[in-house]
Amino acid sequence: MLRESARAHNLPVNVLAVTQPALDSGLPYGAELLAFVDAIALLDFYELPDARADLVAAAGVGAATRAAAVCANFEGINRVVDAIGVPVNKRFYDIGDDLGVRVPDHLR
Amino acid sequence: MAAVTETSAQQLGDERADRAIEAALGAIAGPGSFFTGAERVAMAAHARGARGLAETGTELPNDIADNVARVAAEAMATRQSHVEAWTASGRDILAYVELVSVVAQIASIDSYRIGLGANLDPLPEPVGGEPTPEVAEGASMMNAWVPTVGVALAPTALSALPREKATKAALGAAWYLTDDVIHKYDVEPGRELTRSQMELVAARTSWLNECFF
Repeated sequence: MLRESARAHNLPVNVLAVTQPALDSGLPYGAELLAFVDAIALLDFYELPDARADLVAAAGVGAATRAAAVCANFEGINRVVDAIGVPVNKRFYDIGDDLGVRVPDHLR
Repeated sequence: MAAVTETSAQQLGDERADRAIEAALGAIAGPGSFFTGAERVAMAAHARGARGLAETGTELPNDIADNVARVAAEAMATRQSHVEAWTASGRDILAYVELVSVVAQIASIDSYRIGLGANLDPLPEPVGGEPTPEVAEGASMMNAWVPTVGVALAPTALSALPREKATKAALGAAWYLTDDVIHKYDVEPGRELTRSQMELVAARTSWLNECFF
């Protein structure tokens, strides 16, 4: 959906930053957003306070709140779709190729 | 690196999200379609324990506890054989959907609070009453391992159980996007982050969860 929304808004987003966060995503505050997400999703309570503070300092309280909210939403969605076996839409297979990953057989 | 302050954490938050969370926790506490409120709260507690966020230990039957723990901590390891084993033991396949819904809700609520630097919400006291099945008309086996109404996609994944679908949708609308615009990529929702920034967060979260959505 990142690639699709970037196309829709004509933004030069580097989707490889999703799997290689050291790369520049091309989006404002991309590095801070990725560091914050990593700390939440990995339950990294050591890194999380700094990651949160960095994002707040760079993008503001509202942006940090929204980032936590979107991450939380996908923490739920990921569990639902994986647990009930929602197959990956074939039209998104190529994004896996772009990222160097293969959609697993049980979700094809 | 910016200094960590109590103020920065305390300022984070959103009233609409808080209302959706309050409603979701209230729904977890009440009887569902297949489980009592006490069983649903016990599942939420066990899910927290499986993620290392609370003390472990549960009085749930082993098969329920195992499924709760797997969905909470390693949902990507789920295979169709898990669902088949569930039904082979005599349990309703839609009870599995309810379990997945409860676990996903508490995992997402906890992740939100963790992100904000807030305490986890206390789990609610169970509300008495017997489960009352409420199953969507037209729910059938489509392209997933469980029944759905129409093709199984993220927005329709819980569609066989309308109450669970509604709670998930309310959380999603408060946190991210309403279901009707999720795939309308040209819609800029007017949030504090742009659509593309939100999708970057979503994509990284999914990557870390080894999820392909």
